[in-house]
Order: sequence, then C-alpha cells, then structure tokens
Amino acid sequence: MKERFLDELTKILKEYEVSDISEIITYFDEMIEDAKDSGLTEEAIIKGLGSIEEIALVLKGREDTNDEDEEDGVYSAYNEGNRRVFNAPLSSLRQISIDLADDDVVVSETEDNLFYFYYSDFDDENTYFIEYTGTKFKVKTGLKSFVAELFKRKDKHSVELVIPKSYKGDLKIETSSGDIDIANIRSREMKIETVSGDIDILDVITKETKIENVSGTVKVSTVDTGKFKIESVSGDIKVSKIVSNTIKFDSVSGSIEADIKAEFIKAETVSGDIEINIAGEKSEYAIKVTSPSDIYKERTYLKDDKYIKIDTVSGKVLYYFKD
Amino acid sequence: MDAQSKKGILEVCVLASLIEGPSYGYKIVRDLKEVVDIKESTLYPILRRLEKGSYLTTYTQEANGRLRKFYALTKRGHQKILDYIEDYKELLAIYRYIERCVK
Repeated sequence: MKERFLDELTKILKEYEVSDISEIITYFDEMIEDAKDSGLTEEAIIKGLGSIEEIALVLKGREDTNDEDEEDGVYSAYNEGNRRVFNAPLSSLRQISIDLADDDVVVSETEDNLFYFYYSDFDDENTYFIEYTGTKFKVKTGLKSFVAELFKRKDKHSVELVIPKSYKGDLKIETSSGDIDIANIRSREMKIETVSGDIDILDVITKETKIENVSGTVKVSTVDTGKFKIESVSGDIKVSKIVSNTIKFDSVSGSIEADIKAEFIKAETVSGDIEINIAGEKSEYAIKVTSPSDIYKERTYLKDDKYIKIDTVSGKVLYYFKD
Repeated sequence: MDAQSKKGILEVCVLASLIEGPSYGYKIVRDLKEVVDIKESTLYPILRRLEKGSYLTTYTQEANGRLRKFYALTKRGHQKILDYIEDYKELLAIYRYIERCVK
C-alpha cells in the first residue's frame, strides 16, 4: 500500500517536472513509518495524507513560485509630476497581479526593461499595498483605502501599469467596480475579473485569456490566444478579431456579439442574444445549436475536429460564416 | 486569511515548534495540527524554504532502526520568531484602531 502510494507519487511528480523527487519520497516514507509506529494503519495514514493529485499540486505550486526568492525584490519608488512611480527590474518576474476595489486600472506596454506602476494618490504610502518578491508583483488595496472604505469617503482613483514587451509571465487583474483598460499586452496567461466595472481590451497576445464579469460591459478586439473564455452575468459582450483555438462564451442575460476565428466554439446564454461571425467554411464544422427559435434547429455535421456549439433558452441566435 | 499571510504564519509556527529542541516531520505535523490546519504536503515546502533561508538546519539520525531527518532551529530562525512577535504587536495596534473606527 505504501509502496504503491510512493510509486504513484513519484510518477506524477515526474510528470510535473518537480526537481527534488527523491527527497520528497524520503520525507513521505518517513512520515508514514513514524505514523505507523504510533499505531495507525497504513491505509488510514495514506488516506489522511490527501489525494496524490492534491499533494503533487501543492509541491508543483511551490516550484512555480520559486522558493529561492523569498526576500523582497529590489524596486525603487519616486514622485514624478503628480504621480508616484514605482519600478522594478523584470528579470525573474513571473506573475503580475492587481486586486483592487473601485480603482480603474489601465495597462499598457513599454520597450523598457523595467515595469512601472503609477498611482496618483501618493500622499500616503498606505493607499496601496505593494508586494514584490522578485517573481511576483502584487498590488492590493492598502490600509488607507481599507479604512476609508469603511467610512465610504474614498475618492475614485486610477492606477496605471506599464509592462515591458519582453514580459513572459501571467497577468491577473481584479476589481469590484473599477474599469479595466488593457492595450498592447503579451503574457502567458491573462485573467481579468470585475463585478460592475467595464472591460476594454485591445491588441493582446497570450497563451490563455479569461475574462469574468457580472454587470459591466466587455469589449475585446484583436486578440491572439490559445484559449479564450468570457463569462458574464448581465453585461453585454462584444468581441471582434479574435483568433484562438478554443473560444467559450457564457452569459445569463447579456447579449454576445462576436467576430472570431477558432476551431472550437461554444456559446451559452439563458436569455441574451447571440450573434457570431465565424471565419471559415460552414462545412468545416460540426454544428449544434439548441435554441427555441424554429429557424435554428439542431444541425449536426459529420466532422468533429472542429465544432460550434450554441445553447440558449430564450435568446435569439444568428451565426454567419465568412472567409 | 489570504494565502501570503497564512504562509508567513505557518513558517513561524514551524520554527516555534522547534524552540524546545530539534524535531522531525511527523512530530511537527502532529504538534501543529493541534492549533492549525496543516497537511504533510504543505509542511514539506515550508521546511525546504526555511532550510534554504538558514532559519533551520537538518541532520539525519537513527531512530527505531530507521533513519530520521531532524530539523533544528538556528539563530536566524530564532530571530525570525522574535521579529514576528514584534510585527504582530504593530499589527494588533492597527487592528485596534480599525475596531475603534468601526465602533
């Protein structure tokens, strides 16, 4: 039982390319033996350790965040005109994340090798909580904003992030009511979330793009990505010039208007309307449309290396093909 | 609690569990489980990180006819615990301020 557990763990750690596998195995081996000495059965012990998948993810996550860099990274901060400038070398940066409440966020690109984070309310260092560990750059609502929020007297601010062209890490932006505006960005994974803010994205190249929104509108144009996913509750979605392997739209009552090129397309809505322009020949796709309207009965074609799947309960569906 | 602060606290908890003398993986988990929800798989990276940062040292010794890896606190690790307590006092003052504001 123990042997099997350790074998399986070794296998999955190898798959995840974790570096110190033999040490990890020795660690768990000792852990199990010690637990056995205290009177537990192997079965109970292994069950208590959690699933192998889970363990492997924890150990892999540690590799991703690079545990050598625990100390704060070097950065400089100074005032420039009426704004505070923050900059740091790119070197090993792998994740930029911004998590704010009602501040607007603007993201753009630079040829420089430094990245910049500007904010205008520089009177107080505590407006934003900035954390930089060399691999991660993180901005959160600071103590000042937090306290001010309790008294509801916070002015609306905006922050600006300028990322070097050569940046190859992830980008994650979250706000509750602030608008998010992104232009000219390349990143590995891009994840944009807001509750009531509007999202505007233009000219982006990423490996994966994910956009989540509740009631704000989402406007996206000119994106080249591997996987593209947009979720909205009541906000409208309007996308154009999207090239991706898979595209997925999800909405409850918002309408979806899209101009896309993809192998796999999936659009779901409850009451919103869907209008999609697809680059390519109709005959290339397996198409399945579930819609209450008579005109769009389910049509299935034989090929399934490319597919289009559209589901709606009461919305209208329109889709066109063009070369 | 956000992941970053929890990570920091867990590190200090692990160090604190070594204050009375060197300990080993199974015992550390068992000691900590009394106060905080920690998994064996979570402890491993923490131990590695603390070792890399010279907050603790390790050695292997025979016990019950098997080899067992022991972890011992260093001066630097000891200082980290003291620093944490100082930071915590500051944080506590801030929390009190927030509490007063809310009331």
